Amino acid sequence: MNEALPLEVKDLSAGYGRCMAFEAVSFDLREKDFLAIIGPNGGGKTTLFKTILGLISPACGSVSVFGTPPSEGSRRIGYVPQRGTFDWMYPISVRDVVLMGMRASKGLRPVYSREEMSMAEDAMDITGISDLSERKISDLSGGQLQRVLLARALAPGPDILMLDEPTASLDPMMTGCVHDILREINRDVAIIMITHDIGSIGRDVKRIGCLNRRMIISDAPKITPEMVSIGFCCPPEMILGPSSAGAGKSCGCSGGCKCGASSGRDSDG
Amino acid sequence: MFLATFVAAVLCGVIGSFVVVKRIVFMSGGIAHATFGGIGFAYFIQSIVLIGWFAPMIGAVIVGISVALIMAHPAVSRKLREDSVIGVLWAAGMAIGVIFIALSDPSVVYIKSYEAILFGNVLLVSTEMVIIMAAMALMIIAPVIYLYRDLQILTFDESHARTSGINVTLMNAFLYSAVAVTCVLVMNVVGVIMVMALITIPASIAILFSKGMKETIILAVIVSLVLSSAGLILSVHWDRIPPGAMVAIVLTLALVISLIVSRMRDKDTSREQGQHPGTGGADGTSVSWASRRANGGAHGNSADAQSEKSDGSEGSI
Repeated sequence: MNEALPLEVKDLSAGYGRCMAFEAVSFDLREKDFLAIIGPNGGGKTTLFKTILGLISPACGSVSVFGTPPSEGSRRIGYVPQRGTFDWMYPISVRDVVLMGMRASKGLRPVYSREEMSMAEDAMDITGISDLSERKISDLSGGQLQRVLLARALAPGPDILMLDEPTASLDPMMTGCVHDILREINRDVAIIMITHDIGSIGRDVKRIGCLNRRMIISDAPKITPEMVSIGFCCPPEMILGPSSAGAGKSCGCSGGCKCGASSGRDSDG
Repeated sequence: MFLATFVAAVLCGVIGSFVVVKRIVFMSGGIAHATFGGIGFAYFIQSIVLIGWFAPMIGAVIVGISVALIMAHPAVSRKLREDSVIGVLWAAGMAIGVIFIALSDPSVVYIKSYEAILFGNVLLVSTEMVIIMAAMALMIIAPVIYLYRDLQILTFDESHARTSGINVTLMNAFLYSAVAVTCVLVMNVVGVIMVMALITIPASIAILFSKGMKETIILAVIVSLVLSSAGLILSVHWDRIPPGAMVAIVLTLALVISLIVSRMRDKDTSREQGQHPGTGGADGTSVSWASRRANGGAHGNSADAQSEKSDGSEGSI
């Protein structure tokens, strides 16, 4: 019997109050897929992730994770949120953050089992942070913190990995390191990643989606002219090359919420 | 006197640590002040219906937990900003207290002065009250120990708590109610104004010197015990200074000294790191993802590998 697709999103609309962050979005994520979602700030990317995870209720449409609703299926998703959404002064060690990934299997038990601790250790090995396990997170660099969050998401052995700007503000070496880890994981885990790092798309990403209130998907790792036309709020030369500098001035910042309430909704999209 | 301080210090060390890391110090302030409404209500009921057992502390606990549940309710935070909710409940609670005390008949029931309620007096705490305090403190600390890991996740990353299957609304309601009961108990020792100091300062000192939440809680309890006892001794020594105010000042001075010590230590550490650059680079992955999946899939690693790594402990709390 064929198992349902890892992720199926149909005619999904969601937002905050009466203000929709995105509308009628439909796409799917296939086995071992690597889908990058690009788009301007305020275009609804992070809100889409939160809706898929069941943190926000959809206004209409549906999300199915391996044929089940997000409340059930989100256990099979490893989520790496943006680094900036945490209080990094929190007194906690790297090991304890990674162990948080095992909460779903731990349930209400007060302690983690040996097996759960071992899975967390493995995740730290995979992401190369084992030697940092006893360090306080406030002592870590941005790249190390990113790998801690990645390890937490990988610890329970997810079937889908969702990453929200995993390489934002990382130097090229650390960006390469994160992509190396993702490439390895993508051998048997479907990945969906929000990114502004257009340069890295060609290497590992298999498909691209552009979200700015509505979504356009390309089955190849290429940005199409249509994606640019739905309103990119970034310098056009980043997408179309240096020769196009100035060509996008007219696009302005049409993205995001029509009611103009995009600021403060969430940290990105 | 010292036993009551001991109970208050332990409770504040435990609950205060979660309050400080979750950044709900002013929510605790709001709850603490709103309990004044319960005290006034209890006096009013005592004077009207002559129910002697309805002590001000019971009224304070009822109002405190009610306010905590209102603050924890997601519908409230959706409609109003968090700090606005705190401001409203803070003001309304105190206003209700003042009104009920004004309506109570002082010839029927003995009403403490505002000063005694607001600033407390540990010297007047009865043995019976200490026993009640200890029992209630146990009722709070036992579930906190059991739910320690979940409270850690909740206070660090609420979204992760939600996707991991934690009932965030229920857990917040529990945490806020625990804060409310702590406020009421501590209020008896150092008064409502000083509750903030005892909840906030020991935990803030502990965080400066701790690597993890467990260490923070233990250190906060020790700091709380030592400094509140020191404050009491000083208060007894200088007869004219109220114990609550003395405890708060001792705690504040300790925080200032701790900040200076912590800053000096950080400078030393960064100098050492400058001489010996740390490890933790980008590479060095010793376990491949593919081998991990092959060894047992997503949800089952081999027990052999675990026993090699395990230090022999059954688990980790």
